[in-house]
Amino acid sequence: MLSSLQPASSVAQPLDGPAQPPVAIEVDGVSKRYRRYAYRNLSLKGRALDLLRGRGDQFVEFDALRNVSFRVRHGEMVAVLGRNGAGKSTLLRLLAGIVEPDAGSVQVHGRVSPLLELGAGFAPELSGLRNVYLYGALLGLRREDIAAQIDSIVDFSEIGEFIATPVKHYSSGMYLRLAFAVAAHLNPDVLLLDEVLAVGDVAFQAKCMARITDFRAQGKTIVLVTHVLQHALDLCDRALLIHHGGLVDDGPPGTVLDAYNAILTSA
Amino acid sequence: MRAIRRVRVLISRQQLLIELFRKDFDVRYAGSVLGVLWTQLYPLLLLAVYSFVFSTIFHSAIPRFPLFLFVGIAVYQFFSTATQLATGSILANAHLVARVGFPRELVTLSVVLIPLVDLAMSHLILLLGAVWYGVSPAWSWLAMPVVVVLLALTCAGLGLVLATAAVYFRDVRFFVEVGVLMLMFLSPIFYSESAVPESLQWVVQINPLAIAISAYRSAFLDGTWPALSAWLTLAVVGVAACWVGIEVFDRGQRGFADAL
Repeated sequence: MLSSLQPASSVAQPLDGPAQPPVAIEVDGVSKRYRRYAYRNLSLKGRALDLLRGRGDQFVEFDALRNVSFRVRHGEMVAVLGRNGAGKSTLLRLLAGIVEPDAGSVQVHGRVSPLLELGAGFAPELSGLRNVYLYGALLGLRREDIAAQIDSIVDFSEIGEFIATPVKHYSSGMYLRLAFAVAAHLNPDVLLLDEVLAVGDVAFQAKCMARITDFRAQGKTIVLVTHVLQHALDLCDRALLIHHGGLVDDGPPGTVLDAYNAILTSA
Repeated sequence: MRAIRRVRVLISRQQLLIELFRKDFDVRYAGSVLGVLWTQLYPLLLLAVYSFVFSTIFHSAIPRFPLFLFVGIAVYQFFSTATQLATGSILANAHLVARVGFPRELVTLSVVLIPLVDLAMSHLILLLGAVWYGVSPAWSWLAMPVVVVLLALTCAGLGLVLATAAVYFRDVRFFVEVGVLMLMFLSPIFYSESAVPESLQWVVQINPLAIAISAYRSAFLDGTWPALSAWLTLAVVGVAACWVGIEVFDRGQRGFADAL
């Protein structure tokens, strides 16, 4: 079905039956508007001069997301599909708490482990090891809990002796391996993945997939943005389709993929 | 109250504050004791130059002048470094602020703690000076850390405002540079506050940095406790600065992702 969601439809959620697992993610009527600046002066001097000349900021506003509502239950694995610029990454950034919605509310129950951009949250000048601790603390973990996991993180990342090297000297593959190792070992309740897996080599991708399958088996909640449609079909219980900032379909991956293909061919 | 809510959040994330502090500490001091001592080279060189200018050329009549001067330099350096680091803190940590969700105030607060290490180290030199000039330990020394904490509150609040402003107006840091330089001459570092003419006394009496330096110096050198008015001013300014800082930052941070 291809219809824009009305506000009322967000309320019309099925009542929680006793067999239903608890809700892990609640997104309620969320909108996020960004500005694309054609001209913006980020200095006091420039602002003062602009004021005298009567020149202001020039920008176009666009809705990255418009009135999006959905819920994800604990233990679900959800794929987010959509064309480039549809608003998928904005959605994950909202779930990760990096940006706040302009309208509506986002609630994520439990600890979130986001893996959105390569090396996000790493301090370039610190060693890999120190970055593990820093990143863990950014995600809200206690130092003792990170220390208990540190050996398996280093093992998983296959960084070896370079763990003592500042991460600015890492290759993008090493960045990815360390970032995934940290995100995957910090015992998250909700794992957010944004296509980052595309960077690693085949062997490491397989390892990540195995880890993701483990997560599923443990009943963790996973939200995955992907362009690899096979991943959505094989791994996920459910898919969301985002188009021009709106949630246009939400259902089993097979049917949502059909809707996605319809959008792709109509474009 | 928004500010109180934010303070609660910040307190609950103290582990992150410690990690951010460690990061800044490592970067600044290259993770070594030598690195920490190295930072004392800067105030010592300042001391050498200022001592030469003010005792040899201007013949300052202040007793124990180098020690008198170094107390002022140490406290001023704390204020100046904290304010300037805080101003640039969000921009310097743009990769974290724009890409990870966490209470962003902590980035600014952690850099205010860094010059506290410098100030603590300066006390090795101050103690040597005290021995050299025969300054005896006094109970009033207990006032010194409290004065620093209150001054640090002022720096934190001011830093939060300036850090927010610097995201939207990148040239704010140049104004801050000039501002702290002006404050250096408007604060009793090279002179004693009693040398300020009656008609201009208000300048040093409303300037929290001047109050802190005077209070610190009298507590250290003369064994005098800071006056009640000094305590009150420092406390009120410190708490008010933090309150304003948290409010301004909280409003400003919603636009950080767009502006960074």
